[in-house]
Amino acid sequence: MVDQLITLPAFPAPSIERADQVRIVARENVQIVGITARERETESLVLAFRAVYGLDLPMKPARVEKDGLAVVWAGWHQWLLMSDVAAVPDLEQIMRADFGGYAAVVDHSDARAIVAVSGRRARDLLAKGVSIDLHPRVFTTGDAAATAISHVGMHIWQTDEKPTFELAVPRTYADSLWRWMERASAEYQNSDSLL
Amino acid sequence: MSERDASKEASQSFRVPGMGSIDTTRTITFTFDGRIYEGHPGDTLASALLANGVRLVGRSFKYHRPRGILSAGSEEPNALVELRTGNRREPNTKATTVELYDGLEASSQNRWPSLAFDVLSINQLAGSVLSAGFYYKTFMWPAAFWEKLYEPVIRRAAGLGRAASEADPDSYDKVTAHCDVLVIGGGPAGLAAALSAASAGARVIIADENPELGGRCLAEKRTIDEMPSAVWAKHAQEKLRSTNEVRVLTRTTVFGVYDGRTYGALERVSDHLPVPPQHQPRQRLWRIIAKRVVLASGATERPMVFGENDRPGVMLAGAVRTYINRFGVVPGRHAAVFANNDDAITTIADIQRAGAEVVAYVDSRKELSPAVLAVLSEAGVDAILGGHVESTTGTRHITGATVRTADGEIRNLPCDLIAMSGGWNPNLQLATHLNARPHWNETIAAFVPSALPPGMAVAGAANGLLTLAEALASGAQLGIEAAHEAGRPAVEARSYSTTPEASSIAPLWRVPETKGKAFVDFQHDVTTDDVVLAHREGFAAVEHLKRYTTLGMGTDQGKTSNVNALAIMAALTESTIPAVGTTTARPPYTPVAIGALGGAHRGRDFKPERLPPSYKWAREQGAVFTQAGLWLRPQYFPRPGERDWQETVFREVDTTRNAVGICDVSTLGKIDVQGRDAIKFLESIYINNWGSLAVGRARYGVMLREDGMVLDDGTTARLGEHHFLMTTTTGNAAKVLQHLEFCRQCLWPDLDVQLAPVTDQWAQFSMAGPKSRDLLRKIVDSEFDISDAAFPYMAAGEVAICGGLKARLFRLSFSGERAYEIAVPSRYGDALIRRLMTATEEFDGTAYGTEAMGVMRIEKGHLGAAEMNGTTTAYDLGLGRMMSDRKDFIGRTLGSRSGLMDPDRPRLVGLRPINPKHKISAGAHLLPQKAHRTAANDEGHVTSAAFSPILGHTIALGLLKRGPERVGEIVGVCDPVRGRDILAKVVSPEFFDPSGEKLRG
Repeated sequence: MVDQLITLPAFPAPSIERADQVRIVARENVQIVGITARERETESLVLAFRAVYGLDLPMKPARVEKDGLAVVWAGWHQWLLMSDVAAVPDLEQIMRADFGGYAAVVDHSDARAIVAVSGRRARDLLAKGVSIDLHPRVFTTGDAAATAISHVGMHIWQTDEKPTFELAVPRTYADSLWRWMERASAEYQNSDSLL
Repeated sequence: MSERDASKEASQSFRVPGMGSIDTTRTITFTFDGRIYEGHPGDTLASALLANGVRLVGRSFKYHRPRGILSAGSEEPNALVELRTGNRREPNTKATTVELYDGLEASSQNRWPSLAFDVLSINQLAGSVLSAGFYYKTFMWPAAFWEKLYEPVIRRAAGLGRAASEADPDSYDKVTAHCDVLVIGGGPAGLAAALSAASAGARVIIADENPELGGRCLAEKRTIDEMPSAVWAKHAQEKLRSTNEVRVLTRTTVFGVYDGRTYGALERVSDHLPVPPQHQPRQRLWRIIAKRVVLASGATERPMVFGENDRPGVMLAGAVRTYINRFGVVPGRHAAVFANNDDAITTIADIQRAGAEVVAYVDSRKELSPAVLAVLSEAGVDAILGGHVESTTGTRHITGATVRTADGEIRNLPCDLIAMSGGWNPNLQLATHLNARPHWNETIAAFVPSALPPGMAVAGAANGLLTLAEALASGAQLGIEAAHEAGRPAVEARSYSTTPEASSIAPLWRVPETKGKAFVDFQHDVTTDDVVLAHREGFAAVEHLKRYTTLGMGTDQGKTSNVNALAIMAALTESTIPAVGTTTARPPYTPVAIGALGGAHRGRDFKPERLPPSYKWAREQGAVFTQAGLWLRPQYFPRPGERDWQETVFREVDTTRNAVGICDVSTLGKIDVQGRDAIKFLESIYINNWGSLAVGRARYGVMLREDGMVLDDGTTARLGEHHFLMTTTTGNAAKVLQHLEFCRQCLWPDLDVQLAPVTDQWAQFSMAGPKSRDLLRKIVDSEFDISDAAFPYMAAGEVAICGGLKARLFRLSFSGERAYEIAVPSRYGDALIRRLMTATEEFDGTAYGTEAMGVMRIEKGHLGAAEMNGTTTAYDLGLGRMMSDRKDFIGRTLGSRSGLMDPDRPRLVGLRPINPKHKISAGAHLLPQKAHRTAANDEGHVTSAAFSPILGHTIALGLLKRGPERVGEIVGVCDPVRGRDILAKVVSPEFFDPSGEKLRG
């Protein structure tokens, strides 16, 4: 019955395609839950999480994934958990039930907007807005970082070697970020782009 | 040769067939001062002008003297032109760096009515009046004349070029790049360094300001590994371009060195084209973070300082060689060469090979090495050793040189070109940007880098290694070392073979006896006499010399003038050059357009925008938006027929007070607070008590900074035993979160508290007014009881709306009306506002914006940013009673300092004008009714003011000395900015429903 109210996507369009150079896809419908270990409960949380999901909560900026559940390090003893809406009906409730004793569980599904950037010019495009080094010798699949893009704070992680990067920004900045993506990627419409 | 002969030269008559490395098979046209000329792809504007015999290119800054082309690079002080037209017009563009394109339009600057006949060249005759410090001395008095008279007149007379008057149509880009080794400069040393580092597998960026790598390899006739140097450079460039992990940035100037091994570089992506191709930026700013840097920026040749040395036709010897060898242009038919060093000797052969005559070689040194003497005799040139060029003849370009021989004989040599060389200065600016002082090297008579920025090494001429062999060897070695230090394997540096060259020098800083003005700084018209005057008037210190004479300022930053000037000053003060020292070089190395620094962040995109969940809907309604921090919030919602914003705001207030109004309050900061110690945490953050707050209830709280001033206010709701939701004001959301995180992490790390910012998660709408509950009933699912008994004022809880959507409901009020706030996950915000607005039709409700909200909060005496302005305490704002004396909280101790407890402090009051027609404005001063309107009698100010449609007059909040004690008193409200001075009555700040009946229903 919830579908009585229609949802508005975070981004103004589903994707931006720039020939064979770069592809920018809005990832709507991702459930995002933040968990922060309670004081002196980190160890219990890690053990419980491993027992239930077979995943080790990373203790450094990284992303791990198993059976459709992804975990991204998000700060000191903090993680973002992600799954597709279709795969798990209510991730927040499940997490609270499983780990509420060890962690504060907060729904961020509508707080963050996620965009996937992939293709052979993905790194060149991101270099226009991101100041950290995304070169494959430095940043690779499974790596994550908290940084900023074009003055907007964000989390970034790499999911494959295409390469694909996913960026999570506060939802209210999604429109600004999209406009930046549109313009910054415009030059890749010409396949002989100079950069 | 006479000037008239020169002007009759046929098209490109100074082009030498078979010389140079540019594409002469294609011809392109351009205009200079409206006249059409021809050139070739690969030319610069300067080389194309010289090919066409155009010598006079501009007028000088102060004396409007005729000026030509001095150099062949970015050090050019003279040949500044306006490039392009209309909104792309760019002044002060160096003709020596502008790449020629078909249809290029350039014009000379600083002349009127024409370049050849310039009225203000009369300034030359007034030269003794316009000497250094002239402006400082003459226009000092009377001071009032400066802005209105002197400055405009001087600006018109002395300006350098005209900027475009319309918006820049082009786009700019910014990029961050990381590398192991950044090589700055693509000459022989840079190429060798980049090849070395690349061979070790390093991530290399090599940047050069020219369109091709090669540097002086392209400008000299030399041999590297049995190949002409230009061919070697071409191969090296191709190799680098095809190597993985190497990025070649041509047309790119590294302009600054910053902390953290960060380098700024400007790539002129499209400046060599008439207009940027579609979707391409005009320029791109690179922020390069490099583990190691090899600075291979080369060297800049010094002019000789002699009389009338600024006439068109007097050029740097290295530039003459560049025009011949790279562009196939010989800048004159009859040349004299004047030098103090061996390097300039090669100019003779180049000029002769280009088919021109060398009329004399003048060297200030009496004795030369046998090798150099052999070159001279082979060239068959009249060598005047121990001699000086004292002056030149000609008007718009030179017709001869006046030479004094070692014996004192004066000889007049007819010539149309003087190639001069005073030696070479290493381009060490980037090595000193982090404040290092360079070191004087006697052997080459120039400064060389000493202490270097972290990670930097200097190769080749930039380090005073002026010969080709040294440049290649040092570059190759430093490239290897840099790559290794950046973590790549050690490899062997390769060696290069070159032909031997001579490079000794005996400096001559100024020709002792000269006739006419002898220019030191060409761009700013600073002569030797000005340096002498600065010395005589006590401005001998090098930084004073610069400011007094303007020497070394401007677009060229004294690249050709600084060392000559300070050497002359060293002689005047009978000191040494290292003792005199140099001025500080600061970024940028060459000018950078402000557009490039801005990049994409201009206009609407200057800052990112935050859009509240109802933004799309509000825009469809034609709302007028206002910026609140980064947020765009609806300010008011005009309806057809409403005359102005005031009418709209009155309607929004009136409807809310009498029916119902809806406002997007999602912008308020929301922080999720959890943990077993959350209550303890809140008790320490807020001034008031929290222990008694029941689950399902909310409370208003005030927090202070450590120094006792009010930080922020807002409500916090208890959602569960250990779960709270705090709200902050829109503007303070980030600051409060930072404050809480600091307290949690640093002050009380043992508390079990978890914080999460959730502002973006929730779309939250306020429904205010007598009909708000009726409206709410329309969307809240029927199983939830929202009667006043079940859901009283300050209740908070979870409900479901619109058939099962989980939502949070709060009964809070900022307007003083019965009001609710409903929160749903943001993605439903757009649908919910539409649903609410449909539901509100039956109540004749309205949406309202920040303007109406402001009116209603002032009516209610609620605090805003103008009251919580960082200088007010809880006591000042009438919140003293909230402060708990049974607990400790942040700001308690410092807030009880005697000064902050002083009863004389300005405190919050309400104000209403005695005459209801009078208007009170925020910012007006409060004074005793009859006091003289002076600062000494000031007793406070108006913080917020609005016209209250309910009360029918202006109401205001203000901070007044001993305010609450003075309720009923009449005070003066003086607004000198708007020229108002009225009387107002001091009242309670709660203008509307002070008992709170409406609130509770």
